[in-house]
Amino acid sequence: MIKRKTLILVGTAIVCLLFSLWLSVWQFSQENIRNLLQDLPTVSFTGEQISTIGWDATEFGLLSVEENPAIEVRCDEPIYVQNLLIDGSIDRELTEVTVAYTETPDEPFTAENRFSAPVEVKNKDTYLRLERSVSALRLELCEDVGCELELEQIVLNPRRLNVNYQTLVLTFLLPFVVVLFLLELFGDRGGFRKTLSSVWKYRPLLCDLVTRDVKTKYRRSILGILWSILNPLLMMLVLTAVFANIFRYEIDDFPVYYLTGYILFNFVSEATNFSMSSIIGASGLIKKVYIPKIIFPLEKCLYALVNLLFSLIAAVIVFLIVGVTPQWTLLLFVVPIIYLFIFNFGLSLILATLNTFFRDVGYLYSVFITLWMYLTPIIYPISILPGWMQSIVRLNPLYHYVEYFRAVTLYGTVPSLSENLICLAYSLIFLLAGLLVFQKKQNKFIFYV
Amino acid sequence: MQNQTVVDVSHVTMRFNMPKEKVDNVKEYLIKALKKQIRFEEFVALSDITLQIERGEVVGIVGLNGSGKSTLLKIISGILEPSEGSVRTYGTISPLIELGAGFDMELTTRENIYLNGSVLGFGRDFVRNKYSEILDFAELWDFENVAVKNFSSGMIARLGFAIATLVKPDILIVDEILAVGDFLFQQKCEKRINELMSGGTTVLIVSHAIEQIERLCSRVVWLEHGRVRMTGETREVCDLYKNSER
Repeated sequence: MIKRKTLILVGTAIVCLLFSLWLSVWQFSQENIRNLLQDLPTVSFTGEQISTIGWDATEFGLLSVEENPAIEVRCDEPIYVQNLLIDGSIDRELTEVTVAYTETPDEPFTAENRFSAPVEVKNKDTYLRLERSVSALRLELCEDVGCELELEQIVLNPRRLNVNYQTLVLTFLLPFVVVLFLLELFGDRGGFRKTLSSVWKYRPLLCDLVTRDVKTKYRRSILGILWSILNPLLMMLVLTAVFANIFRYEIDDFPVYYLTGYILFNFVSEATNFSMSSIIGASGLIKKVYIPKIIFPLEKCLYALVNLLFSLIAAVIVFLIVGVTPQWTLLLFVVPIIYLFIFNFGLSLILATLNTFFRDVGYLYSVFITLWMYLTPIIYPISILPGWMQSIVRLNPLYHYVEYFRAVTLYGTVPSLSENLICLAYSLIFLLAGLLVFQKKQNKFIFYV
Repeated sequence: MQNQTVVDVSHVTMRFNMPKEKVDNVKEYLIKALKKQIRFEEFVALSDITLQIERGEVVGIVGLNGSGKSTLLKIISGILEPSEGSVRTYGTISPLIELGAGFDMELTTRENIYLNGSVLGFGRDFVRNKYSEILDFAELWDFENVAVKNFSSGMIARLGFAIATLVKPDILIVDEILAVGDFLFQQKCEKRINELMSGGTTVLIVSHAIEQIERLCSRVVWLEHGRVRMTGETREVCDLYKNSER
């Protein structure tokens, strides 16, 4: 007889695959499907078939912008173009491109036949949505200097499926992770159920430990608890003053951009660093009294969360000083923080377990976290990175949380379903891994603390 | 209600892996793992212990140093997980294995009472109600707002004992803690334990003070090299134990 658990897992795997395929292919690339179904003619232009205006071709394929640069392509007869693919790497993130077009082949470009086409970047390819009949096209890429383009070809009505592999993998794992959670919660072994009920039983201890940490941090200072807000506030004011004048990328409200990233990164770094040594730090308790050990990393994560809340209050004060107009999406700021908290807790459990057995992990991690900070777009916008770096940074979970947070607080937009799923998937995967690792090893902690 | 088993230890074996050298960094671990050099010397602290304790019993555990007494208590109170076998306990356990475990030296007496109360699994309201009782017992009213780091070891022990015996637990586990404090405090502690016992609490005591065991216990378990050498009536076991020592 096949084990019931195996059966459930295989079943889930199939469901997951279908679900993620549906999400990544259908939900996120509906135009692709339409493209495939609609049988539009595909025309591609390469090399000399593309004429460039105002571009300085320094070497083959590499073009750098001088002034009012444009790319021109001409067809023999008018065709209906739904999508246009610029195949190549662009060193800047474009949001829209002005397109001039003609309806018949030999007509000159006129001022009336111009419009702005929205740009979609998927897997490093740049798509323009045109949705009209044209015979010649001129793409006016950017008005300002500072864009480099390595152009390989331009394709009208590209017929290919755009699958975001990250979304595919993560959405595949997501239901899987959820089922594993449910199995651990309600299954025969019920490991998580036990953990959950023991944490619930010890919740007064959790509160007490957090208050202890908050209280002892600034004990013996004259201002006491006021420092919890004052400290991040002063820190942010200094950073704002520095970044308002030194680093200036083409970002509005750069101090705010920086601070939103800084606050979240601080949250991660505090939570993980505190939790990592929480088990060793609580050795006195672990050896003498029975306490569910998961309390200790959880407590440190909660403590970091409290610190984050203090920082947020300080941040609001700074934002008022800088003069940011709040949008209603600001109210959604809790969502990325919840995602990030779960992520933090999972990562903390893994690190705490490792660090208990091998103290080296602590030293390695302190180096790693510096690297991690630079791999997260905190002090720079992601668009200044070369394409291959961007795809690495996009694999960094923290990038998604920071961008989510910025989207709701700074840009006033609501992140898409796929962004939410990516964040949720990262959180739950880390939480699951953390809980499993921690539960498997927690009985051995006592011999190593 | 009378003859109900509250602690059920069945076939418990506890093995410790004692690495010959301490390996606690990744490099050494990997090198040794590659060379297959990680050798453990197995140390059996307890082997195949089976023990049932019924409600209201006061059980003493005697044995020489290293015979596994404290390990057994730690397993019963849930601090250690046995390598084999299982332990089931019914009811609340108050382990008095070390007094004042979990005190934060920076915090005051008041704050530590709440913190330690929650370490032992008591609710906040419960501790608040018993607050004055604790300070009465510990005789620390004058030091209510003093940081614990300024206390003497006797004061810490008093406070710890007062908090730990705050509630009448179903099972009280006492590991040689009665050796701390002056004789007045020891008498007070013993009185408190007697009070708890009369209320139907099951008590497990480890002590080297054989007179104390004789005075308090109704049954004695004698451990030797991790095995139960003998279990039975207090006088019978204690006499044999005392004779074997000589």
